[in-house]
Amino acid sequence: MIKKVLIANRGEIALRIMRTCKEMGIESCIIYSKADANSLAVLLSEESICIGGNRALDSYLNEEAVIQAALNSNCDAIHPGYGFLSESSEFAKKVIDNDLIYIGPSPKCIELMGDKISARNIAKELNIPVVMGSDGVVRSEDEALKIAESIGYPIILKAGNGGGGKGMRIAYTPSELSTYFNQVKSESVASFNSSDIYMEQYIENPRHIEVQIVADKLGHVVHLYDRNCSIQRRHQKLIEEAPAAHLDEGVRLKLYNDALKIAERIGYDSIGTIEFLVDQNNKYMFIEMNTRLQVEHTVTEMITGIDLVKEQIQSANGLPLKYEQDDIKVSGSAIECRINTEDMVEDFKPSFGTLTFLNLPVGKGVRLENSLYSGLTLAPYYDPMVLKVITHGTTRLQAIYTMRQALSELIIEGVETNVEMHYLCMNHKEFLKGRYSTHFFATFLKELKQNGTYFQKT
Amino acid sequence: MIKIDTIKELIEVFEGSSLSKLSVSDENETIEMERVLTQPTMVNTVISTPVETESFVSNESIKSPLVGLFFTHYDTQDEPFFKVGDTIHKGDVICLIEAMKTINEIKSDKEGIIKEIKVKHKDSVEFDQELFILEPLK
Repeated sequence: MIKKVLIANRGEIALRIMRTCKEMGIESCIIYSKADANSLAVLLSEESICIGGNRALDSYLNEEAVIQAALNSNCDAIHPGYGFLSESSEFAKKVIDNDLIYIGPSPKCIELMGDKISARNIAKELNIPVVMGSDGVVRSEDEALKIAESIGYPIILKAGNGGGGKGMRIAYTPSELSTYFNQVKSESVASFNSSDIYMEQYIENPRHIEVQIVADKLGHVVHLYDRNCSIQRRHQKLIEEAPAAHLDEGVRLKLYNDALKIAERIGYDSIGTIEFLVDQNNKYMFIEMNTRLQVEHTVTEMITGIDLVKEQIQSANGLPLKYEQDDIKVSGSAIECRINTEDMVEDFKPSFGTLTFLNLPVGKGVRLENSLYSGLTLAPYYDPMVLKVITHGTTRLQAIYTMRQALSELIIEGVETNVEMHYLCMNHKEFLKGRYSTHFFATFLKELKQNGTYFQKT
Repeated sequence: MIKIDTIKELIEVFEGSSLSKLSVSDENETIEMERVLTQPTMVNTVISTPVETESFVSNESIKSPLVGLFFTHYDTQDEPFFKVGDTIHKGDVICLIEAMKTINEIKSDKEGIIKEIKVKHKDSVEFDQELFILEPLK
């Protein structure tokens, strides 16, 4: 049984993991970089170890230092959180090789599903619809043009090891495809140290719907329903809700079944997420699987009452799932807004500085996952996502009302944030209808720029 | 024509205020003032290495470059590399830090007389933790 966890992450998620550890009576130790010495996670931790310099490569991505920190602090397990080392099967292997427990799936599962091409092949073998595209890596521009001819435009180009919206382009014509192919290739080499590119048909007006699953090491797997994460900017999620509103019930059940099929096929043994696109005609396609805890896991927790970090730890302990599918009920509706320190007026440029004032919202149905405090200085080394506001209501509309109220009480001074944008979104008629696609955000921004004073520097 | 004295006065008022913009008009002319706000820049600040000076006033320290286990000497040695009171020079191996089953010889980038050794043989150390406090050479 796990007695002490090394939390190999920072910010709100480090605190999130720490809380569940405390509740479970498990000790924890958090790693940090020099820049994070005064972070809330470090200040609230039972124990902390500085493992390196400011740059993520020197600290949070430094596998050797992370593992050594676990050994120094007598931890018997490592929780990777999300981002950083959470999707590296090599890291998971190293953790296990050092006689530590990796809180996450087995390296084999990470490897199978982490590689987008291998994940797609698995889905195809199971007759799960996938987005039409290249069967594997596209080697040359000529090959790309030929494939595009057979599946039709528009085409999206993606870096094989990419993520977070990096290394992606949409081509509407052969000449665009030629240009973008070489751009994506050089970006991929520069950012991900891989020249692997694949391409697929580009689905217009899709919704991003994902299914949360929980599995143990004994072969049991259940789903925890779905989330709609269609509000994205450049493929980065901004607002997520659970369950997805106005999703065809037949499609919903198919997504659950297919998610479970994938998990069973690969012997998945932890918590994870299977992501799909659902188009305007209720056609759906598998896109990828995330073999880790996700930022938006909170909305699922709110509607099911299940602590996903606890499930992750219990499954790493080798314990069986405590419930069957029928035991898991959905209660109400939940929404999450990701608060980023960025300047919307300056094209979302990250904003840094010292927080001079902070008021966090409280009240019925409000949950926060926070990394801020008044006086904290934000350094420019890491992700600008610093706070998640989550609301829960008996209905979707109630969750929206509560979110509006919460956002109106949220005051962050000293840095620029996207709080106001979230507030405006909570009042937008398309959002209220709940049928929005992944293109919603771009249109919403255009509207804000056209008709408001919002984008004028005061 | 706005008088130069009026402009000077305006500048004074503007500078003393917390305003970022000021615009004053009469029938013919407008004077606009704008403060260039200094915002925190995004540039990664270069961490400057301590400047070598011939005689330093305060004591210097040698910090751990990595997370690991601190050793004052190899198991095959009887004596630590250095004791309090010893003089160390740049490039001297001053201790060992074991990380991921690898022994790393830590070399000094400073010179001085050891005033204090902050950690004990086989202690765990973290990144940037103070290991040795040095006094300047006489």
